[in-house]
Amino acid sequence: MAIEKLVMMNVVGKNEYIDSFVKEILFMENVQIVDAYNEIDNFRFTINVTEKNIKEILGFSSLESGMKFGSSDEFVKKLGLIREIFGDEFKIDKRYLKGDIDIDEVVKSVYQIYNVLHKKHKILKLYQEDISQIDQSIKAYGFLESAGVAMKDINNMEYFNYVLGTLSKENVQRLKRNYGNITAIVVHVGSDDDDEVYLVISPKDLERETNRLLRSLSFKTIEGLKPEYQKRPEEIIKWLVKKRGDFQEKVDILENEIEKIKERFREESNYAYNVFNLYKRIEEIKKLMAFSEENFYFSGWIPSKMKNHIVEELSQFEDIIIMFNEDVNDPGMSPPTKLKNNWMFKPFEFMIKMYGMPSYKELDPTPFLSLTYLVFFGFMFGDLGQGFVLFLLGLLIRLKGIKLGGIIERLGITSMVFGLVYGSIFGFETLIPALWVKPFHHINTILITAIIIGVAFLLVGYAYGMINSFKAGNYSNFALGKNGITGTVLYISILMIAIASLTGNRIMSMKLLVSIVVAAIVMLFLKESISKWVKLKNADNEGHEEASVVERVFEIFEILLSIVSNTLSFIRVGAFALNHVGLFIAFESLAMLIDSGIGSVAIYILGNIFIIGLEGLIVGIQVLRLEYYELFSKYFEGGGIEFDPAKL
Amino acid sequence: MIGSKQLDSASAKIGGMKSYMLSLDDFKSMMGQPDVRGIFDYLNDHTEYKRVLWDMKGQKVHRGDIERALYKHNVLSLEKLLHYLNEPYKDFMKSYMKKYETEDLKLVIEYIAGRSSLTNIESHILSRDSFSKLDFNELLSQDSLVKLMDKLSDTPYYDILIPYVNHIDLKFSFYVEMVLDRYYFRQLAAAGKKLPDSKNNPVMELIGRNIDLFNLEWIYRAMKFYDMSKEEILNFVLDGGHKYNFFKIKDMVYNLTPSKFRDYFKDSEYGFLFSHGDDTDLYMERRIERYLYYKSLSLYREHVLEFGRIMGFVLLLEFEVKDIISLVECIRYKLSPAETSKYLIRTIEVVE
Repeated sequence: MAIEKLVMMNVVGKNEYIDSFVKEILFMENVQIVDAYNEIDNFRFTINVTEKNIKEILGFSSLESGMKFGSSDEFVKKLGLIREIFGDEFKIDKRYLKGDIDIDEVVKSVYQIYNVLHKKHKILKLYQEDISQIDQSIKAYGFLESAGVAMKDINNMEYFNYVLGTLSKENVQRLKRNYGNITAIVVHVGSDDDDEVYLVISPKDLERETNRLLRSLSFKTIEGLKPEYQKRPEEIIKWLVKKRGDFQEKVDILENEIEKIKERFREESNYAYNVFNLYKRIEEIKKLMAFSEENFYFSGWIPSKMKNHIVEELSQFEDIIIMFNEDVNDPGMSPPTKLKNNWMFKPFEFMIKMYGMPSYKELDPTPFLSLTYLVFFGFMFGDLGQGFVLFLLGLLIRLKGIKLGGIIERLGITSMVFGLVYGSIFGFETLIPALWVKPFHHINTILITAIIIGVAFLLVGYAYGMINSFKAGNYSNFALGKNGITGTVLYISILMIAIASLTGNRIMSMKLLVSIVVAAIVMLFLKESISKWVKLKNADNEGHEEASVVERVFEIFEILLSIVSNTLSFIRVGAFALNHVGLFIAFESLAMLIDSGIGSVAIYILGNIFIIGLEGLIVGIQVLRLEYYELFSKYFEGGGIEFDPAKL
Repeated sequence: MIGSKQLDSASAKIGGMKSYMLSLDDFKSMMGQPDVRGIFDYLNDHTEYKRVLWDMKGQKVHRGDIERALYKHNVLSLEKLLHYLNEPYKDFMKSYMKKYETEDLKLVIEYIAGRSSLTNIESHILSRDSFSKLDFNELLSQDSLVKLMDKLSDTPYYDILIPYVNHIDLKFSFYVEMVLDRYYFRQLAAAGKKLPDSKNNPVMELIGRNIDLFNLEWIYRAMKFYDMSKEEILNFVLDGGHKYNFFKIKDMVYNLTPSKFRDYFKDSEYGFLFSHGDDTDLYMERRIERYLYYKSLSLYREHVLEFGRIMGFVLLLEFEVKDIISLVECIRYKLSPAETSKYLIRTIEVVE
């Protein structure tokens, strides 16, 4: 229910077992790796000075960053070889990698497989190329079939060249409009898709001019006519078709063989694929480590509760030194944030991350956000039947693997609970009794209750804000900030003045309250000066003291304004509860107007679908707005980095 | 067409956008700036161009960077207009904006063919999703023309370019440029046909005149300077001219020599193109632009609540950018204001 405690783990081990060590880390899936060289450079990676550690300490002097050594290129290349043959067939799965791995053996076996296949692949490719060339020739000679001449007559012309090719319709026009001036015979012999096919015969002496002319018309040559084919086109085609058949047979046989070999080596290749991927990752991680002649130095964040477990796992390595640095207050260290919430609140982390990751030192806003979200949504969209539909929808979406489903499921449940409170099922208000009130009959009660709930939540928001500033060591904000003690006192006093003037109930004298308000405003106004004066520590020295008087006047104005607007903003919670009923009344009237059994039922069903879809969406967005704007502004900073453990 | 509801909002929008355009006084002030930095600061402090120039403030500003930023401003402005247009005007505008796509494509081809080694090439791309379906980042990451063509295989560009990528020689860039320009005007004319009243549409007339002028310039220059057969010259003529169709151009190509152009056009509308003796070749392009500039200006003024006004505005916007770019160039070479004004499209009286 909070942000999980993390510690920095620093490890020194022997280079001889580095690969197995990194493999172990990868398998844990609980370590976020940090650049060790950087840690050492900043004096956060320290080793106890004892005789036993002498070598490791001496290693510091000849330390080099892993940037220079770690190189995953080799393994990326090998993965490429496997992919070339098997495509993306294989999946990464750490189960294959349990136990010791003899990398040399794996490399050897892959090369073996590859050699066998590579040759056949090459031959196959050659055949396939031949076939496509034959296809082209068949197509090209097809255009000349009707000419009824033997190719040798054309091939051996002494003074003329010929070329076959296509022109687009547009360029055919251009050619036609200037036929008279063209130095070639142009014969239309057929069409190919959208283009027209022409045989162009031109004098050899004018070859250059003809070629340039054809290029200016975007003439696209059809390849495949060969000078060595001398017979009539139809005979050539017949011969080519037969040749193609022979080649195709060979291709089929080869493909079959390749498939068989692949089948035989599939398991082995899959294993090799996984091994190479592992080594690729190991090399990548080495880049974040530091090395001396004999030792490696490694740093990473781990969840504090995993400490013992990890130490146990790693103690299998000889002479390994594991140290923990728990001083997260070191300003140079910025621990990542790992949210830890129970099943009820877990899905709402999605909404937090959408806004920003909380920083490590903040309170985790998830539980508060979840609770308020659920209450607001239920309050606005309370209906036993529709809630149930939402619940089912959410379940369906979640099972499809979409995170949002979990949230919708829970919203469905609160909607059902409030449905009981309002006594509403699929919009009908008469079927079940209300546990509390029917919204439409007690409009004022609903609106006022909404504000009261809002105020209560705002006060919790203030409390969160104060705790966060305190934890962050920002005492100036804690005591004097607009979301700190001063701001809270100001808010409460204004509230009490409002209550007093509306109801006449006075808990404190009006004069006292007004003077508190004035005092608070003055303190807010002079926040920087007072902080300086009493030497309050301000963690993120923003340098506001330079702010001009005008700027501060506006700031105060904004604070007062937002106190009012943030509070009244919660009226919408009540308004939507009413709106929800109102919308249904509209459909109910429609159904009564139709006044036929089936028609009315259809309208009721349609109305419910409409309400669940559209109003559900609107209410969801309105609540999100209340959370992000009214509440988060009181306490949430964000700016953390998500915990991202190394994995395969 | 007056009062057509479809164009109300777009007309209102350009009314607003027009007010941000530079005045003659702006140009005069810029002509008085001592250096490129001065113009940059002026644009930033006094004009709407700060939208694209502001981020470059405080850095060393290169002429090329300003040029690109200004064109970007142009594209963004047209993009804004797109929101206010409906079919078929919207399609037409997108077709018009395809000019940026074809220019970008030329750049990509040059780059991949190894003929241009611009650093930071991505920043030169002006095409945007609103009018171009090409993924230029992907195109730029190809390492050969064959692969590039593969990526273009679903686009009209494939058929146009494929005959040329197979053998690359000295004239490769020339062919690419010519066929892409030809494609651009062809698709623009096709989109123009879908506009209501397309026969007498003043916008199409102006585009037809533009094509006329480009064609005349092309055949004049090709005949005078290039080693090309008449047939080749004719094959690169653009279709869709307003006054001179293919057959008239064909007559010119076979019957005229460059020296006869002046007499031939003496009494025609386009006589201005060739009537300047020794200056003819030098200022031909600027003369064409000046002619189109004043045509655009009247297009803008004479058509209220019509598409002509919108296209007039679009063209004016483009001429403004071209003028600023010329101005920057002139300042860089320290030309006097009088000299500078000769290179600008708009006429600016300079008192020395």
